[in-house]
Amino acid sequence: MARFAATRALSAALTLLVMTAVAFVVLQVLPGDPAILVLGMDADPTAVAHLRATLGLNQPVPVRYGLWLWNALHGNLGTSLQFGQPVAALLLQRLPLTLLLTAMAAFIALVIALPLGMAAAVRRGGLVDLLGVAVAQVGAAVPSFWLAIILLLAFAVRRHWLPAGGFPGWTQPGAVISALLLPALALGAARAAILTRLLRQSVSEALRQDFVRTARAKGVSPQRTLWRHALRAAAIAPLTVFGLQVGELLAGSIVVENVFSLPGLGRLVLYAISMRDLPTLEGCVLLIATLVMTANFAVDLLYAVIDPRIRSAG
Amino acid sequence: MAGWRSFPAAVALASTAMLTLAACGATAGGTAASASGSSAAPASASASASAPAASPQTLRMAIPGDPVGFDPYLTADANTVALTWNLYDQLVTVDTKGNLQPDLATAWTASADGKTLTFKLRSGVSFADGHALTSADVKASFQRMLDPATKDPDASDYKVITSIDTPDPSTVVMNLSSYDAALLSDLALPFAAIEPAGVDPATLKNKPDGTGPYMLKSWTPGQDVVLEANPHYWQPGLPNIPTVDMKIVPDPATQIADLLAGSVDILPGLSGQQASQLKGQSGIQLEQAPSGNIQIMAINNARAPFTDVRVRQALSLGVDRSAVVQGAWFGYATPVGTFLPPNSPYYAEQPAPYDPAKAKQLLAQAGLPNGFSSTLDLPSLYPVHIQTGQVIASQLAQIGVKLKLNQVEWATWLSQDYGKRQYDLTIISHTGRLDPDTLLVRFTSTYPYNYENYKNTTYDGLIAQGRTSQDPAQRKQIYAQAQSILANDVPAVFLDVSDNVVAIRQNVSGWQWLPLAVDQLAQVKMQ
Repeated sequence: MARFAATRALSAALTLLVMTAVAFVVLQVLPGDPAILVLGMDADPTAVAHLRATLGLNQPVPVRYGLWLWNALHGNLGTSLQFGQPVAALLLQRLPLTLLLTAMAAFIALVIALPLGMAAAVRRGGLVDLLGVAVAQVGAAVPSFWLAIILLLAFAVRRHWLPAGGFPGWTQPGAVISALLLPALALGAARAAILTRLLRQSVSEALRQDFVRTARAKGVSPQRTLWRHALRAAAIAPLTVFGLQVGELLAGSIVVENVFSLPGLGRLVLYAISMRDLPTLEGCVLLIATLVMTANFAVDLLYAVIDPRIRSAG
Repeated sequence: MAGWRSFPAAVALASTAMLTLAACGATAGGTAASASGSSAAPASASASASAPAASPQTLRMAIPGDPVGFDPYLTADANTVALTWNLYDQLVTVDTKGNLQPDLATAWTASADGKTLTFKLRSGVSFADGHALTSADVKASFQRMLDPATKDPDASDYKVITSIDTPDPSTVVMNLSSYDAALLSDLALPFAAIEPAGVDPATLKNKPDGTGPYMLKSWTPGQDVVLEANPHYWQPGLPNIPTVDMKIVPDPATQIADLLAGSVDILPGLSGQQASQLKGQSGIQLEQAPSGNIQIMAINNARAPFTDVRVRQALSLGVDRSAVVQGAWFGYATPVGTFLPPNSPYYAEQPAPYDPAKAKQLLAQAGLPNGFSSTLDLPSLYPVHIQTGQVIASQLAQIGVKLKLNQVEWATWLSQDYGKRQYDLTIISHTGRLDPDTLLVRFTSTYPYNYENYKNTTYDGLIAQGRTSQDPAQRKQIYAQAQSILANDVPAVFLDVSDNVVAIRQNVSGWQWLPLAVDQLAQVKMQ
């Protein structure tokens, strides 16, 4: 177990190192000068040169990466070039919103996919199955930014049921939930589609297995067979995909946060890239990579809970 | 079955349309503000007016992005100074017609040689922190602005100021190295805001302290900027609205949705496309005025075949500006043939005919009877330039000029096209300030951002002369001559001047567009 944990930690550290290096190199390859982006088109060239020097942009690339890494290892993520605020503070400010949005989207995906996928598996070829297939097809085909705009037009502009975007601040929990409902729906729909398809597939396969027939033959009720036995056996594949989807949800939040004007991590990533704000981007990359790895680790633990064979092997 | 098959195609089509639509609004330079209390969107203005709790204490506005900070000396960002305009005052200001008006200075006089300017300061003015304005604050402001250590990107506009004397607390004397015709109007720009003496410059970026009608209450990056009325403001009765909540809404489609849903009361800086979407919506009013924003197709004069003036002239003749105004601005712009906006007192109208036959003839004379191929860079941050590029490419194809459209990300455009001058053709807008020199100087050969690589010594001489002339009539003549040189030489194809457009819900009134790219909020009222 200790060896497992050590391997896990080492590979996590290596992943983080590679991610930050890639982000650094990509931002170097892209043309663009943060100094002129800060100061604007009409800036006096001497002022731009001054700012470049102040920001340390005149140093060679490896030196700059080394310095950033050294500081990051000491818990200092640096200062945002554009906001002039500590990167750690910016990240902390934006993390809760993205976490809540991702959690709500994942919850919505589950709430749609679980009943629909199960029902479709039980009654293959039936009306519910057709609905399930349709949801899966359409949901996977519709891009989330498009769905976001459609939802916005329908529920915020036509009917003033939900806010059209923006964030009310954490002081009003009710308003926070209603502000995040449409974005979470836009984000969760595609995941729901994929999960529905996967659940339908794996549950209907499980239902054809011998142990299910045995359970039924022993007089276990159809409901109990489905939820206790078949679902449990069928859960591994959807769970794996669900873990991977956390990464996708975080990526999708970049688009959806932008459409709904939500001040989360996704918007910060986009902003940092377009403004060549290296310290901010590196901070975002570190944090998002950590989140994805944490989610995958949690899924690994869940495997053990669901499948006793994995538990004993681990 | 056929229905199902065609569904993805329909979705793709619709999403492309949406993407275009979403992209379009990003161009809107301005900001929007909204007012009025709760997040529950009032469905109608009458409903909110009759409810006692909904007394209009807050103007809710949408702005496209975060400010770069609140120190006007540390930015040239248009969205930022549009906002700081409400926090600070200058020595002088302008009215809606562009005439200079007293602001912190009630009167000013120039010496006979134009090298000394004396300002009388208004009495009874205080900063937001409560301390009274004196000549020492003005002196310290300009000293800080002109100190190279401050790195003010706009300081070069004020470099003729060599020293400032303060004979008494209400008198400011500026000593200039030479007369500068543009200086007085430059002093009305948000970049010449007066800051308090002795303030720690490090704090100004996040904690501004000005004499303007509003002061900063809070800034949550990515979320909103909240302003509240400055209790010490010197103009009695202003500002009208105690609190302004500026929501940061980057997506143009969302900005419109916010306004229609009533979660935003006012949306300045609309693109033509946004304006055309909002036109005729009930409860929404549009107010427009010509801006100082000139769209051009810049030509790299140092690259063949654009080194030949006939080729450049052919490009200008081959562009139908009225089609660009309709296609890219949805009618919210005016065609021009020169590099000054028609509302400038120095504007000298230049013919800008659409004459493809003559354009072809000129290309043939230049040895290109079959036209040529080239690349048109389009900064992707600005959808209006992309649309303009598409219109122009189809027009120029008719005279044999085949343009490859190349979308360039903004940071890349600034670095490659604008900084390193590596491009053939590109489309961009330049914003004029009050004095004609600020635009026309861009085509002088020593200007650092003369990215068109245009060189004309006669033109250089005229601009230098205009800058030092103290006689407005003579300046007018000089700039008319300079504009006719530009129209003839075509260092860039001058396309159009866009309109400033603001959308207002019916409970808001009193918006005024100034001939500067600022959002003036003090006079705005709510019922």
